[in-house]
Amino acid sequence: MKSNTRCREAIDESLSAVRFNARDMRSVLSAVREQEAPQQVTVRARGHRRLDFVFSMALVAMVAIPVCLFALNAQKVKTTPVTVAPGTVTAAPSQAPSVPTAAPTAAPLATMQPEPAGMLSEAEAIAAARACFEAECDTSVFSFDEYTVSLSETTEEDGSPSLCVLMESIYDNGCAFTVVLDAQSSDVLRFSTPRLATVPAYLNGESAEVQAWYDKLGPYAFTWSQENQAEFSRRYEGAALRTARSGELSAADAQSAALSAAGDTFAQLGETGTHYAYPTLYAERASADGVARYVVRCYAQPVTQTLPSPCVLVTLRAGDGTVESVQLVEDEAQAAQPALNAEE
Amino acid sequence: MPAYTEEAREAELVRLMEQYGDCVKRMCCVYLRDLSAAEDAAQETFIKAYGHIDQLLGGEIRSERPWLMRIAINTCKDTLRSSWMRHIDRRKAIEELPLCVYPGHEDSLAITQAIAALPVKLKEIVLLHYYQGLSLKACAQALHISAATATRRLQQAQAKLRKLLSDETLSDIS
Repeated sequence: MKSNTRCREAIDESLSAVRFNARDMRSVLSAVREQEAPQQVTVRARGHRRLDFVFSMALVAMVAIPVCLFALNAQKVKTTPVTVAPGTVTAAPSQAPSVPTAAPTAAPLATMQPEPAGMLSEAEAIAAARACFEAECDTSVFSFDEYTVSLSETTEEDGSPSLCVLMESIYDNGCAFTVVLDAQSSDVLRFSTPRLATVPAYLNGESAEVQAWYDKLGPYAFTWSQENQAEFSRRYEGAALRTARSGELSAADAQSAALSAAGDTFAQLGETGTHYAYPTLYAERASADGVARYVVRCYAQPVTQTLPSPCVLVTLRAGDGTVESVQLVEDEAQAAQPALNAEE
Repeated sequence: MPAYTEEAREAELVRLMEQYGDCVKRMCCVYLRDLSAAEDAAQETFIKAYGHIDQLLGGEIRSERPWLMRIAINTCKDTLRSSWMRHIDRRKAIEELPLCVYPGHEDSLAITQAIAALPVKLKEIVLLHYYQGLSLKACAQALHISAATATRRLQQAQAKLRKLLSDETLSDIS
């Protein structure tokens, strides 16, 4: 039984980003609806990206042989001198179209150049979407690799083909970015609100992955290590928290400074003895004045499954350690979620 | 058998996908060691399941989890048998998956990678028995083997995992 549980936990933990998401569901539903349709179409909704090996070899042969023949033929033609105008010497085929006075004989040579590229390839579309993401979105929160990418062909109002590239966060936090590209030129036609690519609309407490964090690390995020707090915040809360940088107050220093500042308040309450401090570092982006601050929750008892009372909230600047406020909080909910003059 | 409406069938399919989608996809992922192939296999699993949805709604399929996992395993086998999968190198694919390991839980990754590295016959019994929680009898039925063979394969898998995992990690699993 223990093995069952551990294996299950291990696979679920290590592959927690692998989810049967809404896109998968849509593909399945689309496929079964096609099966139900009168014409009994059995084509899969999402085209297979991998071709059958034999088929792909046949395809390569079908493309490669004519191209080779064409190349050989072109090589042959290329060696033939072409007179472009009376009195001039010769012009290579590649130069022929640029000669204003080119004789009609040059024209067939020009048509032997490869056709301009048609539709965008998948890789080109993804590269264009990536460039748009990196130009428009806050890449300090998520990198492009932290999204799954799906492409769909669409049609613009004027009938021209376009490609819609949908990027969805792998963290099941609702973050998404959509880029619509011209299917031929790769020009970006429009894109979704960049903010929604990195700031989750809400924290989905029902999400299995979010729940797993709480199951593993405890019910109160402020008791987690600074790294875990920052990573959780990055994934699900728009990176409101971060870890200390060099030159800033460390979490341990913030703890001792907060305990010292809260000492008088605890003494007034008659709470002597050991006190416990839990620091959380709010990043610049979390406050209206752009200053990084520690909010340290101090208790007379350690925090376990329930919140002890009372709580003394100490706010101090991460840069220089200045204590800004010492506040006695009797309401447990307020202590767990202090207001920090936040923008959002 | 009563005729079910399309809405009822779809609702049942959605329920199945919501309930089992993640674990089916993860199992396919470990089995195939390829995320893209796992996506296809997981979707294919539910498309195939939809073909028998009336039987499920009618109560003819009593244990839906073993039934669904049998479809998933067979779909993975078909994928492995496909000519394309036989020609691609999947040895490093597991490291390229979007793994999401919580800090301090490297053991989980080690266990997943060790299971993924098992030979297919041993891997499928581990996935069905340990990951999906099927009884050995249900595993044997799903894999079309005898219960004795299922037991033997599980023992072999445990022995292989012992070799692949460190003593510390092993203390968790065995």
